[in-house]
Amino acid sequence: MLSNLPFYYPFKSVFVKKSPHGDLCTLRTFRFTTPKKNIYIVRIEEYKLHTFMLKFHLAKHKNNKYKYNITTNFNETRGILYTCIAIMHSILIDSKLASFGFIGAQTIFTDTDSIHRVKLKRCKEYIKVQNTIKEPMQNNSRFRVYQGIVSYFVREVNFVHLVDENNSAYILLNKAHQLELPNLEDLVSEMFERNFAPLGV
Amino acid sequence: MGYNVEKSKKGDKKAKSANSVKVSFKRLTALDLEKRRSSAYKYVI
Repeated sequence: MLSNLPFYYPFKSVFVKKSPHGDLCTLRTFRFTTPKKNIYIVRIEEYKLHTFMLKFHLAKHKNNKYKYNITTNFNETRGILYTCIAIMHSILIDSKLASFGFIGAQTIFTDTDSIHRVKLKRCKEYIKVQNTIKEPMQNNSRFRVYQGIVSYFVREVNFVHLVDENNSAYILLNKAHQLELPNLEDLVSEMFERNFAPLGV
Repeated sequence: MGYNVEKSKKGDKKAKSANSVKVSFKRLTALDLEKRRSSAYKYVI
């Protein structure tokens, strides 16, 4: 996975927390700093069946309810996503049967965000909800970028690529684990649905 | 890679069912992946 990755930022594990509730087993948090001195937090939620879900946000947006929906315009996307792939690779070293998943969060603009409002003129499909303007969940812009990067760097030799464009969801199913558990695809899909029900938030 | 997951409160079954989303995953073939890779080139270089 890492052999053809052009670069990534050094990252460190901040903490690991066990979760005894439901399908969620462990929450791992990683942290890295970009060359522009922006600190990012990567949350890896480990579910049953060695399934790891990735999320990341800018550290200073920690308490913002739209932390996963904000567009920063720092132009560091590639480096951030490459680092996420490097983190996935580090997990794969420890857990050979790991499968991964992510969802492309819809972009949400708030009325106070004047710079983004200008851009909205080109985004006619966006929906106005109360004081915010939301991108539709289906095949959203983050998902398009994420799936491009993932399909480029993660080869089908080791993983089955599963997509749900309606919910902008992506699963990388570990083929080694699927050999042991032939119905893994169905089990992971069901678990995905159980745990990520309010996708359209 | 990022999304908000609302924690459902105990006994909030009605709200949960109203928000539930049906997922339907499609398996990508080698050809699908190749197409996506070629269109992803702009993000990678």
